[in-house]
Amino acid sequence: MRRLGQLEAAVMELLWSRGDVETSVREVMEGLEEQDGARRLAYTTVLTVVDNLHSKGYLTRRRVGRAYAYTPRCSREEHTAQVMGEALAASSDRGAVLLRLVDQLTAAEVAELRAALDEPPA
Amino acid sequence: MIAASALVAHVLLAGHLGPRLLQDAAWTSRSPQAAVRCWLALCLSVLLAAALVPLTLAAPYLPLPGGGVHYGDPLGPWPALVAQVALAAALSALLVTGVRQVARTRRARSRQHDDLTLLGRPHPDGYVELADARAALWCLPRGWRRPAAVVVTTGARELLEPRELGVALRHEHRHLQARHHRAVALTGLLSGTFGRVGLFARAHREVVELVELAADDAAAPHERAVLGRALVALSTGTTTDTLPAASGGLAASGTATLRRVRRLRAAAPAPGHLGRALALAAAGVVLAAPPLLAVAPGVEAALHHCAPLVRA
Repeated sequence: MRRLGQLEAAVMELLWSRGDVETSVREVMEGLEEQDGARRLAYTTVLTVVDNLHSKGYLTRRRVGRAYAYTPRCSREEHTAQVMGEALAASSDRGAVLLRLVDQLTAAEVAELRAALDEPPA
Repeated sequence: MIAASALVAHVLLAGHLGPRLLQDAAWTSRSPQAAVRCWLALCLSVLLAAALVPLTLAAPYLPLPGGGVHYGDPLGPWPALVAQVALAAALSALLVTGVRQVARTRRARSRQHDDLTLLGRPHPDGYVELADARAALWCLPRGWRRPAAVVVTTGARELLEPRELGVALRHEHRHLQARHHRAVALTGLLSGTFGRVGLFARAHREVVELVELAADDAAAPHERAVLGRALVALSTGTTTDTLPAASGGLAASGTATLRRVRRLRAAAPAPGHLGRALALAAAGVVLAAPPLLAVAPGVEAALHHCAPLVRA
């Protein structure tokens, strides 16, 4: 069996590929089975994964009949942009969450940096 | 009273002299990891000494075994009381901000791990690739049941030559291995809680810079110029108009990066074993001083001035 994280990624991949179409848990299950061929997933497993994604805020849902229909809260690209924004932001508690290789620089600073590369070694 | 005065003197002296000695010392750039330890020792020593002041002031009011009598306190019980209240206030402030910071960091980190699981693609070279044209590279320390990860954007992978990417990855792995985020988080907590104490704010700024130098040295003992080129390429790559404008600190980060690149142009710093040993010994002394100062007057008094205990 795939690890839960991989399953979550597969579910998001499927829903992202469908765009704004509302998808039920059963449709998610069928979609995953199509991708994986012979592999069968239990309905409750898929339900758990989808519910996790919803409670983490990745999916929105609407009640349709007796079940819920799910859509991604934002597109893959929007989501990536958010992650990048967080990673590059000059946050107040910098370094606590993540450590990045270099900071964003202004154009003038970049010019100075380029010049430093050409300086003779000190 | 004597112990308390000595501790107050230690706080003032270490708090003022310590940062000055550390900040301008040339050896900190040669042994950045030892310098980080010195800053941490200095912060903890000042914190410890300040916390011991109320305790030593309270000592005369504790009952002695066998019904002995304390020396009289020239100023009466008031200094002890005021100091106790101040200590309680400071400790609760530290506890509140500490708990809040840990919770916030945990939440943000676990969110980043979730995002990476969904958006990133594991690369055989031991990093996670994030599909974004902007060049960036960072590391995410381990979270709850999540291993640490180094993140490379598609833009960064395409921008950097293989050798540059290699040393950049080693830089990030060194951060994770040496737990640099913990040192940064600790000084960040202190400067966040006691913003008015200049020592803590300065320690935080310095530690943030020093861990980068330490990781630079560990990543590229023989390829310093390669890492320097990677830094320049990446800081150029992230300068686009599409990024949200970062507030403040930009100039500071620019100079910091410039300093790193210049430093990488020069030959690798000599290991300087003696200097590092001396620095660490000094850190040990600074840490040991507060508890010694707290008990020394009492011990001295007990040795010379106390009548031998006679039990009936």
